[in-house]
Amino acid sequence: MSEILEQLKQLEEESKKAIETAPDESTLSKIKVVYLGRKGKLAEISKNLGNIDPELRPKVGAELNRIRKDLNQQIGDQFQLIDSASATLRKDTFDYTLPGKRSFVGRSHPLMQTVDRIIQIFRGMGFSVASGPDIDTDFNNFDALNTPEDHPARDLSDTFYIKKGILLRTHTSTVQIRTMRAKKPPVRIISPGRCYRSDTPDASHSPVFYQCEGLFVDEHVTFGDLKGVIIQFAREMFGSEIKVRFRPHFFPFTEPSAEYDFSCMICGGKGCRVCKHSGWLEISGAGMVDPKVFKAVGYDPDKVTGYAFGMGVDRITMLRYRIGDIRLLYENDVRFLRQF
Amino acid sequence: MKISVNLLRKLIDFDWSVEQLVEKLTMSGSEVETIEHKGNDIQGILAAKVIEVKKIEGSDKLTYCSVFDGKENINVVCGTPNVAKDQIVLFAPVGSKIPGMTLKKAGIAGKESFGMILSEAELQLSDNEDEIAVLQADIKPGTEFNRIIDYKDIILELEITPNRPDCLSHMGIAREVQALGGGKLKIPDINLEEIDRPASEAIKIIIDDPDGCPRYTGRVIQNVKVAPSPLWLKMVVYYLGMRPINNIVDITNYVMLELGHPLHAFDFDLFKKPEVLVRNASEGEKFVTLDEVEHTLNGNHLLITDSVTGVAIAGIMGGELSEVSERTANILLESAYFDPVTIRRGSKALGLTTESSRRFERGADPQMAPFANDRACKLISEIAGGEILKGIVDTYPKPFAPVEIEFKPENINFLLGTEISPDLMCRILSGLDVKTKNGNRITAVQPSFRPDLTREVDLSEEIARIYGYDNILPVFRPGGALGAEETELLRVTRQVKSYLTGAGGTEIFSLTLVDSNLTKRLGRLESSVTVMNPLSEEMAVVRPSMLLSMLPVIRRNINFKEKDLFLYEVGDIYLPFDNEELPVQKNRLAIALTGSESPVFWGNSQRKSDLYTIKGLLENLTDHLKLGQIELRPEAHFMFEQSRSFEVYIDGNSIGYLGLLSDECLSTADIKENVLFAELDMDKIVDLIPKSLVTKELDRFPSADRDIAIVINEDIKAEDIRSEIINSSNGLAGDVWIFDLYRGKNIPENKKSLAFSIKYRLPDRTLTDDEVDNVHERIAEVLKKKFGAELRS
Repeated sequence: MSEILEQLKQLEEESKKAIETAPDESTLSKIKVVYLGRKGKLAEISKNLGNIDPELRPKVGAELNRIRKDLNQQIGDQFQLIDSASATLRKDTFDYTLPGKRSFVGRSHPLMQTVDRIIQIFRGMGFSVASGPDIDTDFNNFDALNTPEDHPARDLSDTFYIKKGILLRTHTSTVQIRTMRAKKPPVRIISPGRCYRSDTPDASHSPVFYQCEGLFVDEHVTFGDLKGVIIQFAREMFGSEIKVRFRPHFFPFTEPSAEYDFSCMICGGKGCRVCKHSGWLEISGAGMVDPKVFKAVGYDPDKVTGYAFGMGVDRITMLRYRIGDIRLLYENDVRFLRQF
Repeated sequence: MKISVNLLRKLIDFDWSVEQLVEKLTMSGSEVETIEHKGNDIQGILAAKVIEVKKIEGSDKLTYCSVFDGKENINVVCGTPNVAKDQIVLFAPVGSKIPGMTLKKAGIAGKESFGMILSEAELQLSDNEDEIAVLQADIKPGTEFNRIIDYKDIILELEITPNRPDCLSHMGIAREVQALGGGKLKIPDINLEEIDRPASEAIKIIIDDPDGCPRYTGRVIQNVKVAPSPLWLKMVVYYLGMRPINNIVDITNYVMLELGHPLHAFDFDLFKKPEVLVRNASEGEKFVTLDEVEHTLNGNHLLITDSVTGVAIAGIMGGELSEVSERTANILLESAYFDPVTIRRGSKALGLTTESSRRFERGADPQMAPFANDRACKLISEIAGGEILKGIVDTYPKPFAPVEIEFKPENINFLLGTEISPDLMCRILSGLDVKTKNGNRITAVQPSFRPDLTREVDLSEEIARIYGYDNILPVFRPGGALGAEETELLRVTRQVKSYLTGAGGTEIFSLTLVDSNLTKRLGRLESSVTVMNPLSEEMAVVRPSMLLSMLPVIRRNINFKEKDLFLYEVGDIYLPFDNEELPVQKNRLAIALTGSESPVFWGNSQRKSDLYTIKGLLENLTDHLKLGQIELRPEAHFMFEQSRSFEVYIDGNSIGYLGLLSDECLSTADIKENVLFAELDMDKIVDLIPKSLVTKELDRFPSADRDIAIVINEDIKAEDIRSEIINSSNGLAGDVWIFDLYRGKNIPENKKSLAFSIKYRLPDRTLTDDEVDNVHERIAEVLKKKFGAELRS
C-alpha cells in the first residue's frame, strides 16, 4: 500500500471520528472546513496529485472522490442528528396532551360577516354594491325621497344635523338617489352602510346602526318581483323553511309600501319571547318606488317601475346569532367577538 | 292609537273573533302592537249602600264604615275622606278580586275589615285614587258591577302610519273593517233637540286666514251642568289613554276618539265679545294655554280669538282664560278644519304636540266638522243637560274639492303583478267609501277623510292591501349580468380583512360618533366635523381619525383584563368641509396592538409587541397584497411619542402612519398599557396594488449562500447597508436578509454587529466559487470603505 493511500485512510478515519463526536453545529461546520473546505486537507492532497506516481494517480483520485462523498454524507447526517428539534422529534418524550404552539386566532366582526353574506346573496341575484357618504344633503336624504320639510314622515326619524341642509343620513336610500341621478335605468343595486338616528342607546337602539337597502328599476318591475327577491333572500339567509309575510305600511318614497316579517327562526313560528308570541319577526320596509322619486332623479315614471327595500343588518345579525342587545355589536368587547 | 273593541262594535257589526280582527287589521296596514284585556281580573264587585261612618280614634283619615250589600251589613275600614252615609259605592267583599289582589279579612287600626270600598283607580277605571267611586243613588245595593257598566273591554294598540289620519279614530278603523268585509258602518246618532233661539244670533264667526282655517263651525249650548263624567264615559276615555277631566271635556275627547275630529269647548261667558275671529298671531304675542304654560307666538301661529284676546292656539290647545270649569254655564263648541302645514309648523315651533295637533297636522276631515259638532252636542245634552241653540254657525270659505282620480285597472295590475278584475277593484274602493264612476276609464272620487288619495298609484296601494299582499304571487327572476360588478375598494377591503383575520387580528366595528372631550383633549376638535344636535357629548364628533373610536374600545377591553390585543377596523373618517358641499370622507384601515405578540405557551416566554411587530405585520400585509416594500420615515403625528412616530411609504407614496401612542395620548384616553397603532389610507392602497400580476421565471440554477457579519456605528441604518450590498454585487445578489443584530459582549459601545445572508445567483448558469468569493470580498471592501465596517470572523 502506498504512502499516499495510507495517508488517505488515516485522514478518513480521523475525520469520521471527529464528525461522529462533533457536539454542535459550529464544531461540525469547522470540521467541514478543515477536511472539505477550499483550503482543506482533502483539497491539499488533490492539489499535490500531480506529484505522485502516475500509475497510482487514478486510484488516488477515485479514492479522494469516494472519501469526499462519504464525508459529505456523514456531515449531512450528523448535522441532522445534532439539530435539537430533530433530536426531540425522535428521542424526547412527547406529551400529546400538552397544548400545541398556537398563534392568536383572528375573528371577523359578526356584523361584517352578515354584511358579507348579504352581499353574496344579492350579488347572486344580479345586484351590484353601491356606496355613498355617511354625511349627505337633506335633498338626497329627504326631499328627493318625497319627504319635504313639512312632511309628517320627517317625524319618523330624528336626524343629526352637521349644519343646515347637511345631515348624517338616516337611511342608505341616499345611495339610491345618488345612483339614479348618475346612471340611466336599469339599475339594480344594494347599498350597505352606516346610518344615524337620534335614538337614545338601549337594547334595541343605537344612534349609529347598519342598514342595507336594495333597488331595482327597469321597464317592468312588479310588486311580485319584490316579494320574490325578499323571499329568496330570506331562504338563503335563514334556510328554506323561513316564511315571509308582507304587511301594508307607509313610506313617503314607496307606493304601495310594505313592511315584511320573517317567520320566527327561534321558535319556528310557534311563538316565543323573541317574536313576542306572534310567530313573526319584523325585518324592515319595502315597496314600489313612488313616481315622485323617479321625477326627482330625472326618470320617467311612465317608462319605468321599480322596487326598493331595506333591512337592518344589525337586526339580522342579532337574529342570526341570537344576540339580545344591539350594543354588544358596537362595544367591541373581545370576549364577545371571540365567539365568532 | 288605542281602539276599544266595545266602541268599535257600536260603529260596525262584525262577527270576527278578536284574533281574526287583529290579524285582518295587521295584514291590511293597521298593525296591532298590543292587545290589552281590561277588567278580566275584576270579580265579585257589588254596589253597596253606606249605612254608617264612624271616625277611628287616633287617625285623621281612616273611618270605620258599615255598608249594606243587599243582604247584610258589613264592617269595613275606609281610608278615603269622601265616604259619607247613604252613598251608593262599589264594594269588594272578602273573596272578591280587583286588579292585583284578592280581598281578605284584614285588621286595620285595631278594627276588623271585611272588604274594601273602592276608588275608580283601584278598578283601573280612571286615575282618581283620592276618592271612592260614588254611584247614582238609584242603583240598588247588591247589584253586580257588570250590570252597572260594561267594564270588560279589549283595547288594541294600533300603529297608524302618518298617511292615515282617518284611522286615528274608531270610525276610521270601523271603515277598514267594512272594507275587509266585516259589515256595514253604522253612523252614530246626531238627532238634536234645539231651542228656538238661533245660534247665529249668539255668535259671529270671522276667518281672517282662510288658508290656515278653511272651515270653522260653532254651536252654542246654554245652561249646562259641568260635573265629573258618568263612570262609563270616564272609563272609555281612560281605557283609551286620556285623563278624565269633566263631562264637557270628556265628551269632546270621546267624540275625537270616536270620529277622529278634534273639538274644543269654550266657556262662552268668558268671551269679551260674542265673536270668533280666527287670525294669525302677531310676532311675540303671549298666550297662556290651559296647562298654565305661557307661550310666545310668532306670525305663523293661528290664533282663535274673541276679537279682543286669544282664546286658543288653533288646533293645538285652548287657553286658560276660557277654560270650561265647574262654574261654566254656557258653552261655545268649536269644530273646525285647520290646514295641516300650519298646525304642524305651529306645534313644532312651540314644541307642543297634543291629540288635537296630531290629527290636524296629518289632515282632519273638513266635511266632518259639523257632524262632529252635532255629535258632541247630542252627548252634552244627554249627559250635562243644557239647551242647544238652533243651528250651527258654519263658516267655510275654502270648501273641500275632491280630486277625481282617473285610473286604468291594467296599470294597477301591471305595477302589482296581479290580475285583479276592474269590478273587484271598484268593490274594494267602495268598501273604503271611495266612490267610483265607470266610463272609458274608471274615475275614483277622493273622500274628504282621505287626504292621502290623489293619484292612481295611491289607489293601487288601497286595492293591493285590501286584496291582500299575501295574495300577490312572488316572482323569482333569474339573476343576470345587469351591472353586478364589484368595486376595487370592496374587493381589496375584503382581501385586507381576510388577511388580518388570518394573521390573528380581531375585527372591530366601532361607532363613528365619538367623544368631543376626548377629541378636544387630543387637540383634534377644530379639525373635526361636529354634530349640531348631538345626543350627548360622548357622541358629538364624527371621527376625524380611527384612533378616536378605537381608544375607548382598547380601554374597555383592558379594563376587562384583556391586555393582549390585536384589533383592526376598516372604516371611514371624516374631515371638515373643504370648500365642497360635503365633508371629506376617507376609507381607513386601523390596527392597534397591545400586550403580547402571541398567546401564552408553556415552552417559551411571551414577547411584548413592539414597533418591529407592527412594522412586520404591515410588511406581511403589503407583501400579501403585492404592494412594494414598506419604508418608514420619521414624522410627527399628534398621537405618537415623538421619536416613535413614522410615516409609512410604499414606492415613495405615503399611505399612512404608525407609531407608539404617546404617554399623553394614553393618559388622556385613560389607558395604562403601551399601544402600537397604525392607520392606513385604503384608497391609496387600492391605487398602489398592481392592476395585473405577471409571474416571473424561477431561478433554474442553484444559488451560492454566503454570510457576512460586520460591526458598524450604531447610527448607521440597516437598510443602507442592505441596499449597498445589493448595489455593489454586480447584480449577483438576489435575496439579502438580516439574520442577526447583536450588541454587547465583544462589541464596543455605540457599535452594533449586523449579520447578512446573501443569495448569489445568475439566471443562466451556476456561479463558480471564485466568482462568488470575488464579489463577496468586494462587498466587504465597499462596506469597510463606506461605513467603516469591520468584518467579524
